[in-house]
Amino acid sequence: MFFLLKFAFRNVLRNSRRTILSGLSIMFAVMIVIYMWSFIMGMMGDVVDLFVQSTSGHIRVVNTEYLKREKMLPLNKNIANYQKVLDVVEKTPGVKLVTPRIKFGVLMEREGKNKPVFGIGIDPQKEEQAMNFSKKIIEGRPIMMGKEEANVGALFARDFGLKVGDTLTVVTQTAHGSISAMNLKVAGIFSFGAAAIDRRTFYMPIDKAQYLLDIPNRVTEIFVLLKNENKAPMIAAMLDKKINASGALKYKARAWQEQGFVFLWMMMAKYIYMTIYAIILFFASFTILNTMFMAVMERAKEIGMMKAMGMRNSQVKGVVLLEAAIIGFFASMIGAFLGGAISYGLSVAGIAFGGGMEGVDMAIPMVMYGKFSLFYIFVGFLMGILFSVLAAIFPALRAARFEPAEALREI
Amino acid sequence: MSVVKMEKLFKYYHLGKLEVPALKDINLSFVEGDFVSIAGPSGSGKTTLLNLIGCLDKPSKGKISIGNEDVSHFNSNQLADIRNYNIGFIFQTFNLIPVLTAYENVEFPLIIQGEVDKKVMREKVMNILKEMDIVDLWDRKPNEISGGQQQRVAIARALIKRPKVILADEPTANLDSHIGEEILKLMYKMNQKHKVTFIFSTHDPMVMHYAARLVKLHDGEVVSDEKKH
Amino acid sequence: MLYFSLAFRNIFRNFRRTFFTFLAIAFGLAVLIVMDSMLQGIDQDSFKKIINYETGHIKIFYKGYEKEKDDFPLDKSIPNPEQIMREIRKLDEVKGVTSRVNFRIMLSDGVDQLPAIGVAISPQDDEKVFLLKDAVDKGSFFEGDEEGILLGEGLAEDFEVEVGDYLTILTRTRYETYQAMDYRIKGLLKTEDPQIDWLAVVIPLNIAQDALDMEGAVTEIDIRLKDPSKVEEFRQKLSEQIKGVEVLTWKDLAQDVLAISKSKYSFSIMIFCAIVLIALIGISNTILMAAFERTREIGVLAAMGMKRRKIVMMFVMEGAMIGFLGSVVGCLLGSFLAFLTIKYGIDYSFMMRDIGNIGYRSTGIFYGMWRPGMILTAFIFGVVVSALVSIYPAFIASRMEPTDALKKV
Repeated sequence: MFFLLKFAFRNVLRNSRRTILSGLSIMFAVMIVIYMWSFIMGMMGDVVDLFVQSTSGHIRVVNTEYLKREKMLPLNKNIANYQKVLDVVEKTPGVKLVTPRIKFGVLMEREGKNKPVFGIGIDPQKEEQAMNFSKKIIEGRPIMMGKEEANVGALFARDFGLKVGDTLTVVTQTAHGSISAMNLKVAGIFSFGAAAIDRRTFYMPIDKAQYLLDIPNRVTEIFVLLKNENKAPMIAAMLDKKINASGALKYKARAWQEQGFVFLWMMMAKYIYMTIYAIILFFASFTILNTMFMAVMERAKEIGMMKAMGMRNSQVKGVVLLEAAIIGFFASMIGAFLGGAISYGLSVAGIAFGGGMEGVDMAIPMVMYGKFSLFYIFVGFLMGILFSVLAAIFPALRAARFEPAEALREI
Repeated sequence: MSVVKMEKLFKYYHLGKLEVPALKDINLSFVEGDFVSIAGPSGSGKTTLLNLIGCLDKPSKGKISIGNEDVSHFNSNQLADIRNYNIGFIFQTFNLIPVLTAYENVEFPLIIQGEVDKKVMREKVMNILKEMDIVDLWDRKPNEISGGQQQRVAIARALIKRPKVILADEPTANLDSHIGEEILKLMYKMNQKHKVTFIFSTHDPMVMHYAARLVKLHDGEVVSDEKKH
Repeated sequence: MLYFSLAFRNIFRNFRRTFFTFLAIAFGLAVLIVMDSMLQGIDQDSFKKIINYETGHIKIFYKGYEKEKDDFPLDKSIPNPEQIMREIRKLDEVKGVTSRVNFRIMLSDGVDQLPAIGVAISPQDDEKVFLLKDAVDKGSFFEGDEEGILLGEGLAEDFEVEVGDYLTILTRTRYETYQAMDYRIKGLLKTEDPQIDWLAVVIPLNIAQDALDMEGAVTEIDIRLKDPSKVEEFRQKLSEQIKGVEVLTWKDLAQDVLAISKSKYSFSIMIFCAIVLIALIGISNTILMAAFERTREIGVLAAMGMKRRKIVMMFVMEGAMIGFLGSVVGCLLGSFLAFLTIKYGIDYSFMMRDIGNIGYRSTGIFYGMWRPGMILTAFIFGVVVSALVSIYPAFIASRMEPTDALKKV
């Protein structure tokens, strides 16, 4: 066995130019696949995280009627006696954190500036547990329950000319249609790193929001984080039964995969990119096929000799595959190293999509980082070797087919 | 005791739709220690005969035995084994494996046999290298040694497994006559010492001179089979 | 010409190998063409809609409005639009002029509300610049002096209302007092521009001016030119002629689209380059293989007196030919696919609304664009690069001495 390996090795080194050429294409393919994969996954991971944290949670419980006009954030379709629902959800296995929220739309005006924004009433302590809210504060401090204050997004502050300490006057419609207003002191400015959120969102204490919107003891949604985000659909279905005591589906628990299209995209993107990777590797391995085939044809006599001496077909095939595996091994290794280096760079430095994204509604981070993962590197590396070996199957079969007598015939 | 026995052997080739008989009704038998030369013009079936004896090919009709075994209907793997253990090959163009050293080339048949004991192999290889007088070339690759030296390596490789038969196809054709004679003498020495049967295919009169028996082929048939001295 | 036919026949000698190389080229080019068509198409489509529904070719703002245009400041409005518009109408290059008042509103059905944009247009003049009138999908456009609103389709869906229903517009006047107005829906607009379909409530200009205390002022004057390509020069001319206002081209105002298309493009280029790189190595490899396979042949040719350069050329021609065939098929395939996208587009409408505003002016269907220039470029690229990439291996192969080549089996 060791001998065959040694033999295969020397054969690979025989024609270095050819070996290098075929190795190059595998190397590039592996490199490209790895860093593209890491970037796409990082990007999608960031987008999903953002979506989950700011909007959907892993599960969101809302009033079933609310869903019909969700876009308009209908305040009167709310969750009454939400404390009970909170308790039920909290006790459910797999649930990491539960917190109530109130989301409402405001046409914010200040000193001539005029934009539609979202107010979100939160429980600051729970939000802190949910997503390290205080880490996102870049100036000032997080809001506190019971106080008439607000945390505004960085771009929100910029657009409306707000500093910590300024007063934000919120004028909006209550759940019953009458106008209501409240002066909130800007306690802090936050940034999620995404233009859409930083531009249009402000947070206020949930008790004050209830007062402002005239919905005492009610909330518009219950935000749930799970220990395992993949279990969301299952747990959501379970919750549906538990929180609707009477049996009628008054409240609906929705898993994040069912909210919006983020999940769909993730799946779509994954499949598209998997296909692209396969195509790239397929074409790259074709050069190995050519190389090995050439090598085999050139060595027809040698192979014939070996068979004359008694070497079996399987051993002949084995040598060819081994040679391809060796080329694949080293080429993939270099490719994996390079790909890993690039993906590491991407994970640290990221690519700024900043400028163009400001006007966009979709919550996309302004700087997107790749996800550096040894798993991707390893898999990419293995794929390189795998495709190399697969490519050598045809030449190996061809080599085995040489009749020793034919091969040894003097021309 | 015959080492190779052929009875009513026929071999046909297909050339398009035609069936061309390469060998017709061959009845030959070689015994231990034979030093035979097979001669004949191009197209006489010489190469085909050697291929059959060497178990590189199967007969179309008839029977061929190596030692006690009837190999006429063996499959490729079985034939491979027969070759591995019983038959050695020496060629005009040496056919050494270019990426291996002389030592490794000689060792190769043992590896195919599945031998794993390094010490045993080393002993066998060194012994045969000594006999061939090429011990100091052990770590050289084929492209680093002369034609005569390459042929010695090839002989060593053929002999190392103590085969019953060694087939030599024009072994001296690529060597100048002086070296060629040396090689021939070497092979004769091995033949005498180890009782290995040597079967030559050749035009070279010097080889035919050394051979104790001469088989002549013409148009696929044996036309004469003479023992000398 | 013998070389040509020789090269052609040589390619088919080892069809399998040539096939996959050619496949890689064809695939790569086809992908490039379709991608380019889609990306350009999406951009073009957006620009077209921006011009036809939002900005015209030239827009005139009051000085200082542009910076704050997202806030729709009514205090920075043009006080005597008639005068300016009269002057502009006299100019040759102008095809049509109109004015509008844009303002932020909350649209409500009494129960729920959504933020929207009020677009007050001149029922007579608007069609001289914009195509809104043609976009009325249900109901009808304004007639005479009547009151009423045209609603973007998306908004109508959200509120589940139809032509004939009533909606309330909540807004602030120029002097920052609150204003609420009820109007009947006269018609629904379907422009496929999300800025209109999902956001716009169109009302007659004079009604808006009254309700907002505009005193005859407007927030913008819009101009359509006879020759769109002269847009920059005209802007220059106009800026010198009219003082106290900002004159902007549609390009200035479409910055958001331009920014996004840039980042999308670079992303796709990355993928394309990956494919190209691999294909190139493949071609190089193919030629190298072919050359080695035919060493004897090369030896014979050299022995017969063929100069080395000619031998190299022979192989380069083969490479070019593979490139040629691959390019032909790739361009045809790419063009066909692009044609499909141009005619039928790709429909994402099921999820567009959920995404919200991404800058591109499409409510769902994305169309490709016919780009013969790109197709030609891709074609030439395929052939030329294939030829170039074959030079090195051909050169290597030709360096063999004839005697060596003849010796080899």
